[in-house]
Amino acid sequence: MGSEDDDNRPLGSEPTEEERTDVIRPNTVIRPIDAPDDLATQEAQGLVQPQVTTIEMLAHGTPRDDPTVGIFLEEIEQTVGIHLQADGLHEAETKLTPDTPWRGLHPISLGVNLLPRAWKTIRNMWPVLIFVVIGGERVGMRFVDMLVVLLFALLSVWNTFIHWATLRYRIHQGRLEIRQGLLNRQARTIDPARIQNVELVQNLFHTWTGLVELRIDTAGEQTTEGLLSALSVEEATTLQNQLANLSSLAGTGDGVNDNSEVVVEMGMAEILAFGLTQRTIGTVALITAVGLELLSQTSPDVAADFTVNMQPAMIVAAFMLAFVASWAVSAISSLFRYFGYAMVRLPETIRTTQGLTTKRRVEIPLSKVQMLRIDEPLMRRWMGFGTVHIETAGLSYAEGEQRQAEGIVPMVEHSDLGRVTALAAPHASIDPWTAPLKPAHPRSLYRALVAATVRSSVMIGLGMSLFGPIRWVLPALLPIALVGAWLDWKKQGWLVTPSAIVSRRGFFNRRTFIIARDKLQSVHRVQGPFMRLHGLSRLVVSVAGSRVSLPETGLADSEWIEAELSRNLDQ
Amino acid sequence: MFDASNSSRLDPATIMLWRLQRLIRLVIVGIPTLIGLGFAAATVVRVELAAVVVMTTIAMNIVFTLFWPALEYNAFRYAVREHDLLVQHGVLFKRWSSVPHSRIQHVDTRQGPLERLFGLSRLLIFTAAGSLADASIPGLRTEDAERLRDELSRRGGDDGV
Repeated sequence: MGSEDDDNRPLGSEPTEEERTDVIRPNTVIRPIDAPDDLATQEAQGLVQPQVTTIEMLAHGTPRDDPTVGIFLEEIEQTVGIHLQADGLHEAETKLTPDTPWRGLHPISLGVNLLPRAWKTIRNMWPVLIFVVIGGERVGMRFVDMLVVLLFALLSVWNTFIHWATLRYRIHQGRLEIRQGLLNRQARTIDPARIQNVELVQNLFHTWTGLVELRIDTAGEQTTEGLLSALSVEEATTLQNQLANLSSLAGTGDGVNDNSEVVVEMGMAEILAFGLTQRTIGTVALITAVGLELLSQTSPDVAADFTVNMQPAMIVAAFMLAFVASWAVSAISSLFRYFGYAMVRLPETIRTTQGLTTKRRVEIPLSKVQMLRIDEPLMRRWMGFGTVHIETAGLSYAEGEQRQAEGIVPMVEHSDLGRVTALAAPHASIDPWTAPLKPAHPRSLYRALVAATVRSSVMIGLGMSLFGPIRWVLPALLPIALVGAWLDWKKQGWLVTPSAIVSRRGFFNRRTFIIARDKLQSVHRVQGPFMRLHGLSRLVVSVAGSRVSLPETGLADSEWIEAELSRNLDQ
Repeated sequence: MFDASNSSRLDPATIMLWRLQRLIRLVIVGIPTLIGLGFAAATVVRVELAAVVVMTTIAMNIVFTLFWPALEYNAFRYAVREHDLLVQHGVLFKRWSSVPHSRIQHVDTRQGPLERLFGLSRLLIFTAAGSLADASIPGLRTEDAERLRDELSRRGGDDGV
């Protein structure tokens, strides 16, 4: 919001020639005629309460870019007593609306947040901790490492304290305002119509004390833009209902959600199945490696013995063990995360609830859904299920990791995928499981096969120079890679309809993307030298927050898609 | 899709700019790195061999730096069409980007010290898709870049977020 400096001009001063070009800019700030020149500075320093009114606030929360703001002008004139002229605002006589009081976080919230935050910081530093536990023969190093960890934990405790002590929020004139910070003060205004999604989180501490954490995501930064770490359930409900009145989010409370419809629910068996089909070979390899490392740290003799006399049977056994351990961990964590999962469709919003100890509720306005991604990894597909990810523009980092999707439906039966995706993305009316997708170009198979050959040859070469007795098994990987490439190519597909773009890729981890065309930001076509040789190219479409590749297509198809996508751009 | 009648090219001075920019980068970063690698390799292989390989690589890099910009210049085309901005670039790896006018969030012009010397500017076009520019046009005369910037950023519409 840095570009609106010129809007903060007190009304008394004459607008310059440049400022006059717009008839009336929606974001114009209205100030009292006798406002001192340094009012804005004083507000920023917290010396006076900010009293800012903008045209669209007066127009009852009309979005900033809404051209219909013009129809409110008469009303604004009556409300504010501003005489509106074609060349700007003149002779204003402003009546400011009364100030809304600021609210703080719940007093208990400090206690609720301190432990989890400190724990989270320490947990995120697990690599350092591993070194501390198993690496340090030299006690000096161990001490220094511990100090670093402690320092970070203390820092996060301090941040939590500052967050609690200084955070103030309110809904003032149709906007959510959040202020916080001790040394670096921050004041943020969020337009409810711009909210991408709202997440309510309740960990065990929250549940015991009857509090809730509210996270509000907009399309701006890669962090949660509005984090209210502990509100009483009552305050959170009030705030949500206020926001709901100003946007397409759904309110909560008595009688609000009578017309809700449960779309998906998950039973215990499905949750466990989701966990079992989630882990991949990579995790198994990691667990095996960590296991071997631990073994060589604790009893080096046994480990040396083990690596020297490694029999194929033992390797298989070790892998089986790692698989079982990986599955167990995955199933249990999935149980904690998705216990009691339900997805509810409200008139203009999707709401998902989930969680055993940490309960989450995510609300996504349907109009903000940018893209759906449906993952069908091999095992899950064989069991007859797929996972639907609902993505908005609110790409964000939360709890130290990037959140892939804002909404997730972990297990949807194959026959049900069409219904769920239609509900989640009503703008893109397409069911990729019944609609016939167009295949990737035949010649792209050659490219895929060549690429697979080169890739696996390098891997096999490396493997054969590293491994001992089992190295002659490795060349068998080449045909497997070729079959994999063929399957992958065979399962690719794309479709462009008047309302949606569909792209499907992958055999082992099949992904289907559904993009509503009215959300399209830009279209790119790429062509490498080998693709040019075959007359192929690949289209990449981007929406806010994600970028999706279509399968490789021939020249005719590519040009048709490009023409088609640019056809109704300005609608 | 592109022909001489409906598309624009960059300013021809761009070729010289690119040559200079890359030569400077080569002298500051590339050549010291290569020489360092040569010394490291000289501990393993014969010194003469390492010296020959390093010298050849440097010579090839210089030649490449001098002639590649001309190819890139030839491959670059852009067009402001009715509904979108179309940019084509890349010699080996070609890329066509179409950015609808209605989805443009903001347009930047940027100018480094060398570009200022040549009177050129870069134009970066941003949409809501991400934090990186969705399309960029280097090597425009500064006044052209500013005119294009104003023209592109003036058109509005639903940004689809």
